[in-house]
Amino acid sequence: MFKRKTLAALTFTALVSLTTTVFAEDASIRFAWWGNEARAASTLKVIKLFEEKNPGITVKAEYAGYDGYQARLSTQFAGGTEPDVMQVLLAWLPMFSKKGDGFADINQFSSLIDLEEFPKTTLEQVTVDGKVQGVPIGSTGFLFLYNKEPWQKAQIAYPKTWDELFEAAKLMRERLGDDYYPLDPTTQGSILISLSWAMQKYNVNFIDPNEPKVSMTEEQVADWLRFFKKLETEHALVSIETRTAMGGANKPTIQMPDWVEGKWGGVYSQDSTITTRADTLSGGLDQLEVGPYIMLPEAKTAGTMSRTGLIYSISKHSKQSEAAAKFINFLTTDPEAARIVGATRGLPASKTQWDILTNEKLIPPIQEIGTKQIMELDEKGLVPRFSLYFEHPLIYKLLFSTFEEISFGKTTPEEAAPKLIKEANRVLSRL
Amino acid sequence: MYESKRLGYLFVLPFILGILAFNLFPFAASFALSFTDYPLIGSPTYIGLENYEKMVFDDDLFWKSMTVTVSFALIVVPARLAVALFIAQVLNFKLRGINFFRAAYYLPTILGGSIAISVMWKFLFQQKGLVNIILDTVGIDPIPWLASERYAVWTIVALNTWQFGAAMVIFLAALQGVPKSLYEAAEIDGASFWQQFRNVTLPIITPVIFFNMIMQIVHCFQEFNAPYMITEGGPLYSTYFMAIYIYEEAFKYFNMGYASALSWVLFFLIVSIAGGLFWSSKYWVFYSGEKERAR
Amino acid sequence: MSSDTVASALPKTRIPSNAEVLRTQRRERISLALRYLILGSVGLLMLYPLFWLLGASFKSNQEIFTTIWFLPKDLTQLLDFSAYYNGWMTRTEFTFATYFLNSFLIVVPRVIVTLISCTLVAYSFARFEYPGRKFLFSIMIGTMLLPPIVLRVPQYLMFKELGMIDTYWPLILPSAFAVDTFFTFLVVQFLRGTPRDMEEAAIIDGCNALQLLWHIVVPLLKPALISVALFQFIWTMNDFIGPLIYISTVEKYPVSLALKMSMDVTGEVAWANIIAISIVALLPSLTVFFLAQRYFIEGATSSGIKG
Repeated sequence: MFKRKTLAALTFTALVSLTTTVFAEDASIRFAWWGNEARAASTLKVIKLFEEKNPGITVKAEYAGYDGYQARLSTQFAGGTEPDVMQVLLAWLPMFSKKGDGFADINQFSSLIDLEEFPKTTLEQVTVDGKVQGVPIGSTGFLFLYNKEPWQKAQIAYPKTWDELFEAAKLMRERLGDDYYPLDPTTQGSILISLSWAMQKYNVNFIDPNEPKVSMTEEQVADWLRFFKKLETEHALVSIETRTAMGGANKPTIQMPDWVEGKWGGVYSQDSTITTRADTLSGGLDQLEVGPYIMLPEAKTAGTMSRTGLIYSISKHSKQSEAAAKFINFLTTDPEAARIVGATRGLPASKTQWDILTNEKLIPPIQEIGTKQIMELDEKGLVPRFSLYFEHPLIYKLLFSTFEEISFGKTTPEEAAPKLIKEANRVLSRL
Repeated sequence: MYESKRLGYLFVLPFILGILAFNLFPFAASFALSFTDYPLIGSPTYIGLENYEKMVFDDDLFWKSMTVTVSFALIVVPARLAVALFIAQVLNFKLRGINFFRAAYYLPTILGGSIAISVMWKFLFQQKGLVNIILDTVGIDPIPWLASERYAVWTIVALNTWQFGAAMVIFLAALQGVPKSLYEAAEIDGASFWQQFRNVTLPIITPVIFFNMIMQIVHCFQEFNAPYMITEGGPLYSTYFMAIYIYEEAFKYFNMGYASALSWVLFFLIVSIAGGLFWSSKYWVFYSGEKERAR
Repeated sequence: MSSDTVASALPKTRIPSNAEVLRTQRRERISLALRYLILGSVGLLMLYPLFWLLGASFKSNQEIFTTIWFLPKDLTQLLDFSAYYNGWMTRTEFTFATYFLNSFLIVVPRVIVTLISCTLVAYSFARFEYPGRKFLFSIMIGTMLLPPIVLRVPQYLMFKELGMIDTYWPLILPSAFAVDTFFTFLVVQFLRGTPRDMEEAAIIDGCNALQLLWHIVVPLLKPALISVALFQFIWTMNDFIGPLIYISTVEKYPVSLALKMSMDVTGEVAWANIIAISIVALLPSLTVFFLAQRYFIEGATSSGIKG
């Protein structure tokens, strides 16, 4: 008797679930991203929540490390098999969507994605030929982030000017030893810190933000490179050569033993990644402090690179583009999603999510200080515009090899400057 | 039976189909692509010989990469073969624990391709790594292995030589296959150890040397994992092997056309070296099967 | 055995003098000692890095970065397997159990089809005479020299047309057509080195082609086939670029891809976890090797690649 009842009940539930799946199982979308563990964990939770709230849509996660991600995405693009929703670096737009036809136009989904949520200036950055190529994730800017330990030990204050930086480098070396440096920039940082100085001095960017060509003169570029060399020789930055010997010019700072041991005083970090910098420090986040942005007196720009780093795009081949749009909207504007993701995907660009995070104090204090610094610089008009092409992999390759050669003493700034300009213009003209 | 042509064709049929579908067709496609500008996203445009012209006349990195690749092969192939043959020779003796040593030496070959090993290798050659500490104890100044244009490639060479096991096992098998009677005869003639090796061992194992040599050369020209993981092609492109250059052009910078042209040049280089070896094998490689038949 | 016993046991009929025998004995003993010395030191050089890796899985990050000795300073840490547990569980929605299963779903079929196709094709190359054989053989050698990178994009487009993206087919199918030419070459070389006497006898006894292949050739080839299986197993386990391009759903990732992903996704912060899981990832290859090495080496030695 009892058995029969259970059996009937089971059959019933089975039938019900069968019918619901038959009727509802209409959309399965693929979502691809790269990022660290925290990002993966929180994103998977958001996916679960989304699936609960939208029965019938399943989201298949495809995540990987950065290197593999780009290689695979490009191959998929070639075959037209890219995921329905993908995380894309804004700097890839010139490659994937030169004329605004690489991704689905978000304007098509205006009923599903609330574009009003996003600041106009941010949307402009992701628009190519009038077509919105993706939904932005918050913008990030570079700033000076310090591990306070060596600074306290050497009793030095954080530098406010470049001269103070050189002075700090000298004192730190004298008081603590040859292994101690005020800043570990990674190679990208070396390029950006010295560029920041050059822009403060000449108020001109390396690549013209309005058209794809080099806007600095040969003398200005040479000066930029000379300053970089000076930063290295005066022990203000861990040199590219030193880093290479320690296991990689591009290896993240947090994986370097000297950072773990507190010998390196700081990093040039994006404000969105501040929290990850404490991962290998024994003192955790408490050990980090945001320093003043180092400036030349009377500079008209700070020269920090601040831009929308990441966007979510929809494949133009997607058969489930509406489900994809729904999902993006949930991810970028839903309050619940904001609470789960926190700052692990960078700071949100949408108004709703931003308010949730700030009102509910979901952003760690140091993160807030960093973001505020960039915002203040922006309000004072000190944040310059950068060309999208500046972060193009080919331009980066060129800059990297130039800086590497200078660091290794293979070439001089005077020799390298005209070559860099010529090559960069050649690359830019082809893009 | 062996005269049955139909059976011969039947058995080789899967290969004919496979090679057409999975190799020759894509191969031809990439040959065609090498005459185009193909940004991967978008369609290819025919540009004639431009890729090849650019490579030869206007691409320092191509020449750099070529030099690096060829000199790497010139070092690694002999090094690996010499170590493998030497150890095989040492092992070819009535030894207790021979199985243990053989397995132990083979182990790195099994593990070498994995990512974990590359990570570890990087640790060994760091500024404060194991290698420098050992150098220090014998009174040699530490060498910035990974940051040195001159020495970085040696870390890759070392990793490759470390994996001599495959060649060694094959050598050892060959050495053990040399009939004892030949050595006894040589001994009666009063031949020294070296003379025995030179006049008895070497000629008999020539097919195995040939086989190992071809395999090592092919491997060397395709070396990718180690330089990609350990030195990232650097510093100053000193470990920027052709395989890395091609990979980056294709999947990082999206120049499929140029990458195809580069691969064709690499292919041509490997083919000519291997072709030269095959041609020369007539003069120094000696198959016992032929000998038996001749008898 | 001591030289005395040997010397006293010498039959009188032998010509060499006592002193001469002793000299040979001594020379052999020195040679033996020298051999062990070489083998021992080279062995240490070869294996120490692996011990270091094993020890590192029990160390804290700080200790990994700074110490050379393979054992952790505090030996009780050796009882702490949390790195293995954490590495295995990963912080993704799947554990390594899934990834291992996936790897085997690729490796096992691939090894089987490789063995079948290689045997057939190598048999044809090594034993039959027909027009075009030499040409086909040189094509095979040629493709062995072909950098796989050349073929990647066209192959991808092809598999896409066949609707095989995000399945294991692109990783297995080519092997069913003997396209892994290295293995075919290896078997051909091996077969060339083996005498035909038995086959010829079997033909006289009236064996048909398949009987001949199965009852005579395959047993002859056993050592070569075992090494093919071993290589294919390990290479497929280690293969990274193939799965990276064809497999996109995390649920279908094989171990190699999952390992690289753990490494990237964790930002390489917890080194012990990654090293621990790398060691676990190496286990199938190690097991297969230690199980098969007897056949492998025995085979190579007995009828051998003596050329």
